[in-house]
Amino acid sequence: MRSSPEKNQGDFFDALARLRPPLILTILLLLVGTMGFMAIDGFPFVDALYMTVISVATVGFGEIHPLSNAGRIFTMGLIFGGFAVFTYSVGVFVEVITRRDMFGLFRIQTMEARIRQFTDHYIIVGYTAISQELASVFKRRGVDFVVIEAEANRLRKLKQDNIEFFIQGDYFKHESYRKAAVGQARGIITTFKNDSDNITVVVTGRIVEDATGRDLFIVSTCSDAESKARLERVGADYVISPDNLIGTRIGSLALRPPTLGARSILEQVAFGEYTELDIREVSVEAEMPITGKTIRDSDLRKRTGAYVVAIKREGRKVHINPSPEERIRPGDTLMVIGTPKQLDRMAETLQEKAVATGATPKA
Amino acid sequence: MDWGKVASIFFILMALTSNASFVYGGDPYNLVITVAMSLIATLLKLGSRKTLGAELMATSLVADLHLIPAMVAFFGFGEVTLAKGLAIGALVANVISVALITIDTILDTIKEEEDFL
Repeated sequence: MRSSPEKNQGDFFDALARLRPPLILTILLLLVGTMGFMAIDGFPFVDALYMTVISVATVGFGEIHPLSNAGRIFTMGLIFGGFAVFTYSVGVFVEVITRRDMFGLFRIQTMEARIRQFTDHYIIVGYTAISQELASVFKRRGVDFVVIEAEANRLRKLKQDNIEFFIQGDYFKHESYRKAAVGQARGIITTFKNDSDNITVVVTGRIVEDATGRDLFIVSTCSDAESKARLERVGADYVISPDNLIGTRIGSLALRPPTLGARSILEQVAFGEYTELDIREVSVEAEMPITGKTIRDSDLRKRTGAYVVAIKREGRKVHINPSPEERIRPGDTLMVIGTPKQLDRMAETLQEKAVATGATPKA
Repeated sequence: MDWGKVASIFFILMALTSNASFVYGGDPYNLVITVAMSLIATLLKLGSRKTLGAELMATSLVADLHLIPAMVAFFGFGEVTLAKGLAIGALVANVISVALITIDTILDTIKEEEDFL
C-alpha cells in the first residue's frame, strides 16, 4: 500500500538546481577567456569575447588578431577547457531533460500552483475503485477535488481517466496534504479496502486539521461495524460501509423495480447521477431570520424556487411533506429539493440573511 | 558548513565589491568580472528553496538587467557615464541582495532553532 511514487522524479527545483554547475562553468570559462585575450594580447572586449566563444565552440574560425606565443598557449588551454565543459554540460542537460523528465516536473509544478488556489475542495486519498466513481461524480457536479496517490498502477489509471489535479505522494505524510492545499479544503475522503489505512488517513487528517486550524469534513469507508466504530472514534465525521450501501440499494430495487429498461429518476437524483435535480439539507440556526417562521412566511419557495420536502427535528421522526403552516425551529434540518441553480440561490439567500444577522447557514 | 550557502554569499559579495570597484575606478576588467559574478549569483538562485528565494532572484535579475546594458554601453558605444550610471543601479540591487540574504540567514537560523526545540 505504501509503495514509492511511479517514477522517483525528485522535484522540479532539484532538476533546475542540477543545471547550475554547467551554466556556472560556462560563464566562468567565458570570463577567463575574455579577460585572458584582453590581458595577454590586448584585444578589445568584443573581440576577446568573440575569440573565446569561437575557441570554446571549436568552430575553427581563424584568429581575428595576430596572437603572441603566450596567447596561443592560452588559446590551446581554453579549447581543452571548453571541450571538457561542453561535454559535461551536454551530459547534464540531456540527463535533466530526459531522465529526470524536466517537462513532466514542470507540468506537476504548474498543477500544484493551481491546486494552491483551490478553496472548499475535497481531498480524495487513494484512487481506489470507489474513488474512481466518486471522481466521476465530482467531475459531473463541478466539485473541485485533488487526489493523493502513491501507487504506480493507480497513478497510471488516474492519468488515463484524465484526472486533472493530483498529488503524487505518500497518503500519510503531511507534505502530501499541504500540497493538496488542505488549509483551504472542505474535507478528506478515504476509501481504502484496508481499514487500518483508512484509520491512519483519518488520524492524519485530524492532526493536519489541528495544524491548519481548518475544520475538515472527513468521510471514510469501512469493512465492518467494528471498524466503523473505530473510525468514528478516531475522528471520522461520516463512515460508510460499501457492503451495506450496495445491499440496501439492491433491496430497494428489488422491492420497487423501475419500469423495464428505464432507471428510476429518484434513484438517479439520490445518487447524484441526474444533475438537473438535487436534494440538499439545511441546518437551521437560531440566528437565521427564517427561524420561528412558518414555511409559507419564510418565502423560500417564492424567493428561490426550491421546495422544503421534509423536516427532521430532534427527538422526532422525519416529517415528510410538511404543511406550509409548519414552523421552522432552531436545530431543525430542512430537506430541500430543486434544481442546482435554485438550491444555490437558496444558499445565497440564507447567506445574505445570515450575514445580516451574523450567522452562517450550513447548507 | 553549508558550502552551497558559502558559494551563494561569495558570488553575491563578489558582484557587489567588483561593481563598487568599477563605479569607483571605471576599469573594464572590473565590469567584466562584475557581470560574470552577477550572472553566477543569479544562477545560484535558480531552483532555490530559500524563504526569500523569489525576492533574492528578483533583485539578482534587476542587477543583471542593469549590468548587461552597462557592458554594451561601455564596450559597444564607449558611453562610460551611462555605463557607470547603470552600474550604480546594479550596485543598489546588489546591496538589497546582501540585505535579503542576511535576513534569510536569520530566518533560517530561527527555524533551525525551533525545529531543534
